[in-house]
Amino acid sequence: MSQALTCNTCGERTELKPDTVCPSCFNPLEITYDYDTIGGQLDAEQIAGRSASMWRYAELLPEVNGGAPDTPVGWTPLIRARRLGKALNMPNLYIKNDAVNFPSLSFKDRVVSVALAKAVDFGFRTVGCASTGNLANALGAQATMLGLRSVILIPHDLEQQKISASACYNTQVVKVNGTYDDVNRLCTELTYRENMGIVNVNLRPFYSEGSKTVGFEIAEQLGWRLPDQVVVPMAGGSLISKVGKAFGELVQVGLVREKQAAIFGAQATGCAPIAALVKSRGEELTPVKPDTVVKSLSIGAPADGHRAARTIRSSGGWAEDVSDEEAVAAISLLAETEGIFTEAAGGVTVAVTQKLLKLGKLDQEAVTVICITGNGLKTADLVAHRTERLPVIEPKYSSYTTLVNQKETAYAGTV
Amino acid sequence: MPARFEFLGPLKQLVEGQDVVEVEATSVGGALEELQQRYSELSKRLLAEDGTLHRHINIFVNEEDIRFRENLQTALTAGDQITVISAIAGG
Repeated sequence: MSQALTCNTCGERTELKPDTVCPSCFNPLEITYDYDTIGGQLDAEQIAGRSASMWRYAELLPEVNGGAPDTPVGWTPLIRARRLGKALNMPNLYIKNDAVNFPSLSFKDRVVSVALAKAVDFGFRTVGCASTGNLANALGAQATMLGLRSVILIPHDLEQQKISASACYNTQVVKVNGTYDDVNRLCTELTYRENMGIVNVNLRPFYSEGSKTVGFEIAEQLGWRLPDQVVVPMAGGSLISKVGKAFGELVQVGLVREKQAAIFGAQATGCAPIAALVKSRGEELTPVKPDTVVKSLSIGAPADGHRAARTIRSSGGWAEDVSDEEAVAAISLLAETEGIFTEAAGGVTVAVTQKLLKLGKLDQEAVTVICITGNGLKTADLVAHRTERLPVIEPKYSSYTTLVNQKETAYAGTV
Repeated sequence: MPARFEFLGPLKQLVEGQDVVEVEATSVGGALEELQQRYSELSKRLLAEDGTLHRHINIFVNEEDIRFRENLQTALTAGDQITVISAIAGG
């Protein structure tokens, strides 16, 4: 088997199938690859000639019968963040901008692309997910594109923008009276009681591999080198773990030189079980009941919490959390400096970067990448206060000049 | 009336594939001890070496995660519905 589902605890290997738990010891299953063979066949020049999508790294993603999907998911911009860097006194700062990912404007488009390709392979006609919002959008869009029936289960109190977008696709949205963790339990039950491909339950080993492409793209866009530091938001802890896995794989197949990138995790204080685990220096994660406006990071019992903490610790990184107010302020900071409008999770990531700098955990001079994982249009209500004092004028030139004269200082740079 | 345990997915093998097993016990931990008498592999597979619940296993009593109650000391009353399920999901 060139690829296998491998238990990351007891090492048992099985063929690729819709399963997430080792039948022997009940620990998570992980897709493993034949890195020696891949390393001997794959080089940077080959990849450069491929399509501008996350599937340019197909050898390091789950095999798909009939070939990789041709939807242009991924290959999002890596921005040299000079203005934010100046504000933070970080001259080598970059933004990985998945706020413009295709088709639904978050990094979840990546994981869904892999999960649904495998769902088709495995013959599922109905797919589904438990979602904090971004995954709902991604699954609704891509299931529609593939003509799959889909069911999206969400906590009832998600941001209206995310619910509206999901409801527009050819999918069934179900609001559940409970937290994300309640929804997740229900979806796990559905997996075993119904014949469904739930992307973050029985398709999870495939789904989560899609997150690695964030790490692959960062390295390629930096000229096939790993960053010194990367700051990643954490909900279930899968993305940050897979960014770590991606960096390790690139070293293993010889696409980058060996180097330890320090990996930093970001959470909202109202739901920070992984950051708490890292900061406690302990071994066991304590689940929490989320209490934050940052809905997309509101997972109180994160499935990959321990793994995320291990990834952070072994890399020499750290984790921090910030208040909702700090996160919302950082949404504006990123928009004002870089012209990137991110959702609340992005605000958390930028604000945690600020906090890590203040604490001396980040090296200010080092090549640092902040991962922005979702678009601000999805949580626009959080910054509605920015519109409260906007001027309103009559449609007359004189009204405009009067306003400009009143606001001379504020408008000086734009008029 | 006993408590009703359901083991879902791969965990079902622990109770020899039965859909529902019924147990008379006053706590989740007590129920697992009782089930251990019937199914010899059960405790070894569900519990960590220190006797706590394995980190990749979730137990819900009437849909509520026992980690938000009293863990294995969570009290059981007659007719409670207990679901034992893998924690490897979501995110």
